[in-house]
Amino acid sequence: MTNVEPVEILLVEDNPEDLELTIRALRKAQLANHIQVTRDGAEALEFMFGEGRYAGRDINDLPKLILLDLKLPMVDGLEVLQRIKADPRTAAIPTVVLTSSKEQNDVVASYRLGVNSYIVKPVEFEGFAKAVQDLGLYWLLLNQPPKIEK
Amino acid sequence: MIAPPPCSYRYGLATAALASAVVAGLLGQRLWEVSRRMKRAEELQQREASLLSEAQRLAGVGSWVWNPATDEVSWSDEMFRIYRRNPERGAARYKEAEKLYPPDAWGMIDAAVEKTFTEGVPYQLDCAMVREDGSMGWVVSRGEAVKDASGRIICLRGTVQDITERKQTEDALRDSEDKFRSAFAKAAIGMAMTDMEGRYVEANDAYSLITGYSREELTAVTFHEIVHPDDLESNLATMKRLMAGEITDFVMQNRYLRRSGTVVWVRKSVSLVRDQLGSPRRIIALIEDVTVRKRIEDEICLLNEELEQRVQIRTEELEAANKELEAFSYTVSHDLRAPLRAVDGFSKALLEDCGESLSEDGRHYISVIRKGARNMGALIDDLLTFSRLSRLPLQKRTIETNRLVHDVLSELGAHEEAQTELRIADLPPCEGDPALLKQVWLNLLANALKYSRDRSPSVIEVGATQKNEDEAWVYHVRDNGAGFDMRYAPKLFGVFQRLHRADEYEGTGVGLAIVQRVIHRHGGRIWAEAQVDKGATFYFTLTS
Repeated sequence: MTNVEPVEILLVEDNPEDLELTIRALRKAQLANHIQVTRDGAEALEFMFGEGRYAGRDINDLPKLILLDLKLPMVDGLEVLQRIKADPRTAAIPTVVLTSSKEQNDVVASYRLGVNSYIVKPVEFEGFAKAVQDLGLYWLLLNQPPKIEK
Repeated sequence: MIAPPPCSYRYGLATAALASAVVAGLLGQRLWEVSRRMKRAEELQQREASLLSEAQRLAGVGSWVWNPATDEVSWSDEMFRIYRRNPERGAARYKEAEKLYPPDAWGMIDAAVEKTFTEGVPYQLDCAMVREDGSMGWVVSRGEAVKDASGRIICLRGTVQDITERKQTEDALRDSEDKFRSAFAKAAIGMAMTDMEGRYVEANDAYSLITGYSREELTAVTFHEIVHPDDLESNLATMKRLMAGEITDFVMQNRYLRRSGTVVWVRKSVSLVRDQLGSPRRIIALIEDVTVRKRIEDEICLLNEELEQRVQIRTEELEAANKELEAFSYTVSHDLRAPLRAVDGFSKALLEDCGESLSEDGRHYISVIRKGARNMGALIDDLLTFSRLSRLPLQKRTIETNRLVHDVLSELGAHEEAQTELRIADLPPCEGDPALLKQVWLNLLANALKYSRDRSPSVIEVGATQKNEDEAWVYHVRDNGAGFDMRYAPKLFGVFQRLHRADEYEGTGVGLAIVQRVIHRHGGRIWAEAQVDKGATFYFTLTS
C-alpha cells in the first residue's frame, strides 16, 4: 500500500520578490512540486472554487496546503481565509498565514477565522527560508490531513 | 329690702369678665341683705356664704362692700386669696388699700371711687396691684354705689378680678406679634400675602424692591400680573395642587415682571393659610431675587456644554489621529519590511549562487548590505513595538515575576552562557500587562547581558526591595559591564538615544525607551545608576 500523495501548495502572494524568495526556499527544501501561485485574493478564491479564470477546474483536486499573504489587492487575505474556513469543502485544508504584519489585530483575527499557523516573515533570509521550509515540511509531510467525506 | 341698683356696666368686654361681673353684682346684693338680716337668718346666711365663696374661688373674682361713712369694709374669701392677705387680719380698710396698688393705679382708683360716691357713677379699671407678699399682678376692679329707697348713697360695693395670667399671655402675644411684624417688615426676603384671587393683602419692603411696585401700588395689581406670562401656567397648576391639599407648600424658580417691564428671576416658597374650617384663605409667598445667581448658573451651564463639546471634538480628533497612526504603522509593518527582505534575500541568493565567482571584497560588500538590511529591519520592528505600546490598552493581571524572569533568561540563552553568573533573588509578584512587562524584562536583561559580555565572569543580579510595607516594590537589574557616564543619564530613555558606539555594542536605541514607556503606563518609575566600566543598575517600580 502506497501512502505518497501528490504535494500541492497554493501560494497566495502579490509581492514578486517575496514570491521568488518563498519559492526558492521551498525548492531548497525539495517541496517545490506542484506549487500553484495566485497573485491576489480574488484569483485565489476563483482557483479554490473553480470560478472565473479557473472555471471548469475540478474543485475536488484541492491543495494540501495554502500559504496566504494577508495584504493582498482586491480581496484581502483575511477574507480569503474566512471564505475557505467557512466552506465545508475547503475548511479542512491547512492554511498558514505568511505575512509581514506583526499587528495583534491581524493575528487575533486570523486565529478567530481558524488559521492553522501564523508566520511573521522575518527580514533576514535565513529566518524566512527556515520558517517556510519548516511549515511546509510540517503540514505536507508530517501532518496527516483528515479524510474529507465526499 | 333694697332693690338692686340699675346696672350700667360696659359690656364690650370679654365674656368672662362680664359673667364674673354679673356674678359679683348679685353677690354684692346678697351680702348686703345678709348683713341686714344677719340675726334673723344666720344659718341660711352661713350656708349661702360658703356657696358664694366657692363660686368666687372658681371664677377668680372677689367682692367687697364698703361703707365710707363708717369705713367698715367686708371682703369675700377670694379677695384675701387675690391679695394674698391673711384672712385673720380682716379686710383692708380704705386707707390700708392704698398699699395694694402702685401709686398711679391708686390715684385712678381713688378718683373713681370719689366720683362713684358723689355722683353714683360706676367704675371699671384695669390696674396693677401689689400683693401683700410684694409681688405684682393685674386686676380688673369694678365698683358701684348702693342706694336706699330714697336714692341716697349708703355704701359702695364692687368686685376685683385677678387677670394677671391673662395679662401675661397678652403681653407675650404682643411681644411675639411685634417681633413678627418687625421681622416681616425688615426681612431681606420678599414676603407677601394675597387673597385667593391673587390680590395683595400685605407685602414688605423687600417684596416691593424686588417687584418694583410700591406697597400701595401692589394693592392695585394681582399676583397673576406680576408672574411672567410664560411661567404663569406652571404656577397656577402648582397652586391648584396646593389648594387641593395635595401638597402643603412648594418652592419654585420662575420669572416675575417688574413694574418697569424688566424680568427678575425669583426663587419663591409658597404656602397657604386656611381658616378654621380648612378652606384656603390666604396665600403666603416668600421670594428671593436670584437673577444674578441664575445668570451665573446659566453661564456655568453654557461653559460646561462648551467644554463638553470641546472635549468631544478633541476626542474625535485624537481618535482620528490614532486611527491614522494605526494605518501608518500597519503600512510600515507590511510594506517597509518587504523591500528589506528582498535586499537581504537576494543578497543571500547572490552569495549562494554566484559566491564562487565573487572576490573576497565582493563577498564582504554583500555581507555589509545584508547587515544594513537587518539593522533597518530591527529598527522598524522596535519602532512598531514602541508605537504599539502607546496605542493598545493595558491588559492587567497578576504576574509571577520569578517565573517571568526565568522564562526571559531562558529565551535569551543566559543559562547556557558559561561565563555568565546569574544571581536571581526571590521576586514578589506584580500587577501588569504580561506581554508588556515581558518586554521590559527582556530589554533590561538583554542589555545587562550585552554590556557585560566581555567580562569574565559577567555577573547579572536581579532583585527587589521594599522600604515600607505600604510602599511599592523596587525591582532592579544590575550588571558588571560597561556602564555609562552619569552625565548622560537624562538621555538614557530617549528614543534613538545611544550612549555607546554601534561598533562596540549593537542596538537601535529604542529598547530603553520602550521600557520607560511601559513602566510609565503602569504608573511606575524607572531610573538608573552607573559608573563607566563598573556596570549599571536599572531600578523600576510598579504600582501593585
